[in-house]
Amino acid sequence: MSRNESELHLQSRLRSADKKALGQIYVQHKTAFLNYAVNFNISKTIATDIYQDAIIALYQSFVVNKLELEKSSIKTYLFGIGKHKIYQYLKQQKRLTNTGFNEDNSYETIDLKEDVPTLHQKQLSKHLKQISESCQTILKLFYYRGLTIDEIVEQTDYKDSATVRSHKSRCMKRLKTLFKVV
Amino acid sequence: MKHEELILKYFNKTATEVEEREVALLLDTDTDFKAIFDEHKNMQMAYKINETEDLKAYLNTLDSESPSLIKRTLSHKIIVLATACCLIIGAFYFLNNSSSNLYTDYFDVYPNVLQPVVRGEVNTNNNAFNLYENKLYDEAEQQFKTLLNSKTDYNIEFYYAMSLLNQDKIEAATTVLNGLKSKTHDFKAEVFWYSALIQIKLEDFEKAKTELKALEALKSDFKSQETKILLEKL
Repeated sequence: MSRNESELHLQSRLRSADKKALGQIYVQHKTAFLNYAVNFNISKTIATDIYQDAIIALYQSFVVNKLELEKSSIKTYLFGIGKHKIYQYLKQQKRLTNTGFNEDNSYETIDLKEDVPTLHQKQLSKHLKQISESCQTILKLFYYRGLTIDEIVEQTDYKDSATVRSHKSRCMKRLKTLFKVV
Repeated sequence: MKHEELILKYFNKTATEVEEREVALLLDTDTDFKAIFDEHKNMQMAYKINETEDLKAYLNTLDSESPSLIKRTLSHKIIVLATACCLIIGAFYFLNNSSSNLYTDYFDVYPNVLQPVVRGEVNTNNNAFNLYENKLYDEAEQQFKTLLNSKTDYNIEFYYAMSLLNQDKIEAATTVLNGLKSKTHDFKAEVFWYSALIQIKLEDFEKAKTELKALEALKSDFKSQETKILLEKL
């Protein structure tokens, strides 16, 4: 497999929510990112934390938004996200002027414009852990992975789309009752 | 139905400009549409929150358990070259080796890459993987079996098979691995690799080749070099 093919294959694995592909990328670029972060005068612990946040954001872009990188490599995109997160961190710490941030042209910053979760969404995330495993799976495929009902039928053992719809509907009802209980 | 597709496209970021305008219009004018849209948005964010927690734990596991993996990846090319050289030089000996030696040379215990073991956390999942990591395969086998009696989880089933194989329970491991070949899970390539090694151990080289070819067809990076070399030698 050529480098380009293997990069495309890796992207496709990420879109399919392949956690092992994420692990592979994480391990592959970690040292390079930590070395890069040294330029901004931040500790290794903070840099690791930022790297993890960046790689999770990258993964979720592939899984949720079906990202397809045509012009940039996974590494360039990952470092772009990481650079933006370093920028945010330094801004928060009011240390932006003390670093060489503006002089660094090695990667273009990428802002994924991540929403801050609302209280309702945080509660919902807790309730999701309380429903059955089959409900968690089906709802995750639909709402998180963004699969259509037909695609869910293809990827699971459900016999048809009507079964998926009725199971999904029961799961949502169950979830809503949990809100009433609280 | 049409609204559902439109919303999915919007959140997948595959909606066209026209469709995006339609979404904006419906959000202003159709309360039912807005309710479905908000529900989708909230559910997606809720899953993102949970997934972020899980992924953080997974990445921390990689950090704590795989310093050697990092080194391995960094010097991947060197290792591949060195492996290839060693294997070419040793080809003669290879051919004369017994199947048992070939199995021993290629067999390594598959690491726990699925479940981060959290110290102090008591649950069957955690216990089973903890036992597996501590090489207590007999007890891990029992724990995985208990888990599988209560739910279907093909990833856990793979570790159940590995627990059996690590105790040399070849026949039982083969049965579980064979069952996993047609299922969807994260260890497809690994299933064929270990099935091939079992066949080598049983000296059924034709079957071993079939397993290795099936592994090659998956186009996975897992043991791709070793698969090529073994196929040439068998």
